[in-house]
Amino acid sequence: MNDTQLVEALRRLERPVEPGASFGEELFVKLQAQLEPRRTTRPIVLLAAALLAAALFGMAVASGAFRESPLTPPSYRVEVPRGATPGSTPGDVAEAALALPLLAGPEAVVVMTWVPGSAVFDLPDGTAVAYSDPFWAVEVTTAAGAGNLLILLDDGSLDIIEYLSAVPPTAAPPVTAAPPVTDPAAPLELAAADGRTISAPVLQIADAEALPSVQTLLASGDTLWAFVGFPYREDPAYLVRIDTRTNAFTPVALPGGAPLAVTAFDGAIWVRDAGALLRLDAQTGAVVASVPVSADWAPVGFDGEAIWVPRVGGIDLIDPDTGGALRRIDTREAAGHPYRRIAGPPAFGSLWDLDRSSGIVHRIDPLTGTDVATIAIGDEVDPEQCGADDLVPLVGIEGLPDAMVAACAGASVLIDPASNTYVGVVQAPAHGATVHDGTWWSLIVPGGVGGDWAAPGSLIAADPAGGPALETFKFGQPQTAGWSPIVAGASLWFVIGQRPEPNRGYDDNQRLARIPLAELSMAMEEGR
Amino acid sequence: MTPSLAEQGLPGVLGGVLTDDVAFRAWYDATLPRVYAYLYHRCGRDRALAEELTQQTFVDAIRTHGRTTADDRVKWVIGIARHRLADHFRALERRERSVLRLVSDRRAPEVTWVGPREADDDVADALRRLPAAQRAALVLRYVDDQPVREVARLLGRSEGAVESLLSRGREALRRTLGDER
Repeated sequence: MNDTQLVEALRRLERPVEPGASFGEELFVKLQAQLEPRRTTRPIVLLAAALLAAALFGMAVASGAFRESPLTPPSYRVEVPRGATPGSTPGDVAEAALALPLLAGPEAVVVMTWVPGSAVFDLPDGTAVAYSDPFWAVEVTTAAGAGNLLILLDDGSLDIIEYLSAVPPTAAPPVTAAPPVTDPAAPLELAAADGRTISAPVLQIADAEALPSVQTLLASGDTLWAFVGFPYREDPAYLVRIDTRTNAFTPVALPGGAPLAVTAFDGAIWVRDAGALLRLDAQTGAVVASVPVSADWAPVGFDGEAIWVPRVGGIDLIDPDTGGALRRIDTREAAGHPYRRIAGPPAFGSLWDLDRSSGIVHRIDPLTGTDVATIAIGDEVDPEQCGADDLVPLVGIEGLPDAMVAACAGASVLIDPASNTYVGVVQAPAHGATVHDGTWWSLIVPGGVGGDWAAPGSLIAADPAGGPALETFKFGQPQTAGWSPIVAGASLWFVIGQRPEPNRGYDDNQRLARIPLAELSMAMEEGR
Repeated sequence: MTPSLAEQGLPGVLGGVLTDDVAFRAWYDATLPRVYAYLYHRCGRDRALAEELTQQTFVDAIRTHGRTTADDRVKWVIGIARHRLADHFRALERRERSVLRLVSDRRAPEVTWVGPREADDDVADALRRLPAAQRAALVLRYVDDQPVREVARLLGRSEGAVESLLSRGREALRRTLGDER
């Protein structure tokens, strides 16, 4: 296919497509409410749908098979005993519920939801299915972790109209060991505005031709973990374990492809890939548990009891011991905030969401979905430049009060979760920032990571309590940029990428820079 | 600061549409499918994402209509949708390759649709697998037929960078399609 044919193929992509009827009606009502609160005439069709839904719920409850959940309505769940025989023949809701535990777990959690319009369901194998007609959806997750089951029932007769058994994650493709360490590249020079310089050793961890990208770094004691591989591609994915005492590298193959998100908690490293949540031994990288979850970029969280797994439209709670589903929370919509889309796990006992149009942070009760506080983010940043779902906790930093951080363009807004008040702004990016020993470290890539690196990148030091940058160190090579700073083994580490020429080629960022914290402190002291 | 149209006594682009229930309904019914289809085919044929971007577009349209005038209301709303799409791609790019340790992040999952595949689904699938920056450039330049200068403005990049993205994107797309066929 030549360029002309390719462009023609792209131009032919567009054709008429209708949104789901219920989406159109719901948005219309929302817009009317936004336009003029007094004009709240709801279409008769919505009323009819609501009445139908209520009637169906009544039937379900009357059947005795379901009890009302304390969770976000409309949602019903029931504990199903083991041992029932799989069934796929049409039947009523009660029959369907009894036929559910075909996955043979010791317990199955069944969540039954009336879906009034089109919806997308994520399947644990990383795919999704979409439906556009009203239906009941019954979703089952078992402690056996074999997968979710989705049974769709039509809106009238409650017959089963489709029966899907999700496919468990596919076996890991065979991977080859990562190449050994190659020659270290030239040191990276960093320069302050007044000419002070720092020289950082640069370590090669893999062959750029063989591995596509270092996504992120995580630290655990003296061990640094680099996550290598690009999501949704079939290239092998690796963890690279780095002993910060010796700089020795050990590749560890990941089953199931590249990670979408990684998090460290509960003495383990958690990797979310396109079909599963993996628990890794924090010392060896060995996979010690695997739970099927939907594919999503959101990292998982842990509140001491449950793993919180964000997904499109909500968050699921999973038992860390059994992998079984504990609770399903839908969070996509909220009265008065049409953009609401909560990605992160809860922090400080709440879900957090930023309305970019108003600059208001909503603190939300995860059980009821209602606001428990609203906090204005102040006028030092343009809220439109903030990420609607970029709110994360800053917790347990010695000498610093805990804070909620909203990520905005080139700045980070701090919120005090104890008083639900705006604290101030750190004039450094939140993405990839790390805070250590009273200093906030961020890296800036001109034009973004994939951007036009005509200018050098920068390493920024700031006061995590707020205020302007304390120091900016520019990278010495024009086409060099860095990201993912983290402290391990008394050094600041980050990934560096380099381009041979502006706008030409791409190296795939397979090097790490390491700067001893003592050198950074000394350089900053000299500047004061 | 320039006074708003309302302050100047002028109607916004939606004029009397917003004050008349019947006119608003007619405008909405005529515009919704156009906006939705525009976003659906450009954001990876992900219905949930297309709905979210559509919602943002309409909310923005009502919120900002008083700041401008335009002869073609649909074209004006599509312009807003284009900005939302560019925002989406920029966020996607940031998420693809940024560090997720401090900031939580997400992206819509890959979607496999049930039902018969359409003739151009392989092109749409291949496009969806590209890095966000290349995908954004290809979509805005070729699907949306925007000039390179406008693509550069929407993505916050130089024209040279956009040309480079287009070149790499075409090559990657060709390679992906070649692998599948």
